[in-house]
Amino acid sequence: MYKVRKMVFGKMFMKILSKDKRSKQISILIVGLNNSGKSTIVNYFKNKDDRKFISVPTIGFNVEHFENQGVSFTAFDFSGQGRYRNLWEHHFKSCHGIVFVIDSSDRMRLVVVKDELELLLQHPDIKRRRVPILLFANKMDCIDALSSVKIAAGLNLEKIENKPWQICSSNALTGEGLYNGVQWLTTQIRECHQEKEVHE
Amino acid sequence: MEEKKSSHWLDALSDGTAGLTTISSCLTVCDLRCDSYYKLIAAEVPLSLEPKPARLRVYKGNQVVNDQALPGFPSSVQSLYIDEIEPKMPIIAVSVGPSILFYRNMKPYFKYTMPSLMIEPLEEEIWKKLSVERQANYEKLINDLKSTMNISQMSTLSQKLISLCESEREDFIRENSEPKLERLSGIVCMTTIFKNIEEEKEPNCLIIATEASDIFIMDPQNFSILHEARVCSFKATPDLISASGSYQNDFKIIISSREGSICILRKGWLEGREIVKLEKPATSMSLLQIDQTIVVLSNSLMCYSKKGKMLWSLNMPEAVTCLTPVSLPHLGVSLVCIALSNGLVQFYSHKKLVDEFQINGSVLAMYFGKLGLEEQVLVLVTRNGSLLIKILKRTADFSKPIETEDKHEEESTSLSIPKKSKIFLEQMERERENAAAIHNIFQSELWRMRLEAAKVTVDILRTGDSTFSGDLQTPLKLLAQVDGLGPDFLLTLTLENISATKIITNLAIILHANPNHYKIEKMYAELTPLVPGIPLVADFTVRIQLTSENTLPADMTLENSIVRVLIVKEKLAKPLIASTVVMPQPELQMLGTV
Ligand SMILES: Nc1nc2c(ncn2[C@@H]2O[C@H](COP(=O)(O)OP(=O)(O)OP(=O)(O)O)[C@@H](O)[C@H]2O)c(=O)[nH]1
Ligand SMILES: [Mg+2]
Repeated sequence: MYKVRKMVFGKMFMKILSKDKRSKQISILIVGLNNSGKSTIVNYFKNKDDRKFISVPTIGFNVEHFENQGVSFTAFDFSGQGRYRNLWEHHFKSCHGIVFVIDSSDRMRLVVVKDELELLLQHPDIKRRRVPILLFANKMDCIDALSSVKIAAGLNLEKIENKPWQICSSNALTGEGLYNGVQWLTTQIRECHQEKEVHE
Repeated sequence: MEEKKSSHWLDALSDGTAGLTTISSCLTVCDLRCDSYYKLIAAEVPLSLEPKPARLRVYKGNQVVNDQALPGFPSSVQSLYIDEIEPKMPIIAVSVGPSILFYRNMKPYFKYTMPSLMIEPLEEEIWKKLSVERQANYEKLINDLKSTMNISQMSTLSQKLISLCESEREDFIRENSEPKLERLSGIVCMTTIFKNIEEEKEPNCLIIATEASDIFIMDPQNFSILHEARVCSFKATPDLISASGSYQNDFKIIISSREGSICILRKGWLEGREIVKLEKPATSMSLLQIDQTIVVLSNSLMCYSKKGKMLWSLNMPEAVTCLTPVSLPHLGVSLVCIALSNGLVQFYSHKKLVDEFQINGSVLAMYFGKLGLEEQVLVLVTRNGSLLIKILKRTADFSKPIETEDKHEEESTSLSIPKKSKIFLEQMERERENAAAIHNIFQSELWRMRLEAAKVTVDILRTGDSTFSGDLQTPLKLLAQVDGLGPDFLLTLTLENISATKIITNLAIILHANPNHYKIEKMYAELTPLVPGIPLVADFTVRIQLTSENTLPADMTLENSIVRVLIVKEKLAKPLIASTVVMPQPELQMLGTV
């Protein structure tokens, strides 16, 4: 096993990427139920000039590019509406990381979140792969928001095997919590890649 | 009893302390604040005898976000859209006694009271007399009133009068010396149809059914009555109502009455028609929007067509409390959800039980549809006041019926024997009369057919054009098959030795066709020895000789598109089998691609 080495992420990452010709870009999937704040989160990572201000429910999915600490990401911002959720799995095979956004204030649908997360984890393209999963307990600013600890317990996150996961409280409107989360994800993706190279 | 759980539903909420008592007609869901977050609106119906005021509540999950008192006992709660002004804000209509209270943004907005009914002249007469008569005569007048009129036909004032004891009467009559007699009819149930366009959030019309068996269609934009009709030509007090369609185009209203009849009222009718007469009045009823059939719960679950024909029925193992349609357009199915008094909730696709689960307590009110941000949610309210919310799993699939002992299926299967038609009877008559002649004609035709068959056989033997070898020494069978769309065809020949033991050696196939029409890659093929029972398959490519413009050869017709197949044996002058294969015409669009 590798320990996290203190290093400049970007440089290290680029080096790995240049070796691994198959994936020039890091692709991450942004999934979660509708209205959880996925598009708002992706929007936050874009350059100030590219940001869109009106938020409408996503139809199908949008592909967005952004950089974080010198790493360029391709983010698939999916629609969370029930009828589009079956689009997620078509991209499972090629993704390097998954961001699962949860509306902490929508208590009634926590069961739906749990069901969707289970479906995702049990999917053959995900089940045996070591894909890092970042969960945002978004809308932490809402009065009736559940804490990330409660959500983690409600979703039985400790049962997740063979995948690194992390849950972060966030507020996509102010950006609070978002950078910490993505930083964790970047580290994890890098580690997964290094391990893969060792095995090869 | 074993707990039945369903794998199709997620338990979003199960609040045993919600303390809500309501019935299906007093439960509705709408996008109350136009934020796409659908909220549950329920009128609390006091079911116990202790006087507890009725309330109108709005729920977000299990939290009450709005709660207000109602002036009386509610009979129905509906949410409807009245105009097309954006943002489209639904209004809530609550029927209490003879009035409808309209709420906009949960604030009282308008109160509509149903028009007063006719007052009997006799009743007015009596009241006039009462105001001038002496007390001693009251008794006689009141008895007159009682004996000549039914209580339900009396004005509220008279109803009150006859219920008073003697000592109270005088004061009451003096107070009402100039009585304003009014007869108001309570609203029993309501529903909505669309005004014009049948789409979500488009303006609605409110349908109101009253105790006096009148049906009103109201335009809630200006609270005007657009149409008025009677439930039926005879006494039928409405109890349950369900409707579909739009006022402008076409609509149907189905009314179930306390007397047990089910009536239909269509656009333009002044009076409904009875289509079904039930033994017991229905406890729950719904007109299914998809196939426009009517499902009725009485002691069994029954399904009727709009004309009143019973399509199917199922006996229920327990008393049933309510029913709600569960329409799942993404799966292409429409289910009916019913709740049994023992807490079992079942889902039927036509007669098939496709899902069930058990809850604690008997369900009094049910709703299926949008709630919160989910589209397929089942809301259940039980008699003991618990509120349950179940969300349909995205991956749920109701195509398979669940395993149950089909013990409560009603015997309704009968063999479908067609009716004896007139033609059939006439034919029978003819056959009886002319039996001898018919027999003779049949016999001579049979002989003629046998002769025909013999002639053809002789012909084949003479010309040798057949797929069987007539030679007893070398019994062979040939099968030909042509594949392809043209201009290239694949001719597959299967040759089988049909003798019991003999091996046939030194065979060859010769193909022959008009060289101007077809080019055959290999016209001659020698075959390996043929063992009995093991067919030999040989493929040949046959190509049409197209002209330079990619068209068919000029003199090629349907009749002469043939390939001759000859099976020959070494040192035998006559072929064993000579057969012709008719080649299909090529698909014309294939020619251009060559
Ligand atoms: N209060 C609060 N509101 C938020 C937050 N994040 C997003 N929202 C709001 O939530 C609503 C939905 O956000 P979207 O980003 O469109 O949600 P989405 O997950 O992309 O939804 P779909 O595309 O339909 O799947 C918007 O009105 C956002 O402004 C948050 O952290 N706090
Ligand atoms: Mg979105």
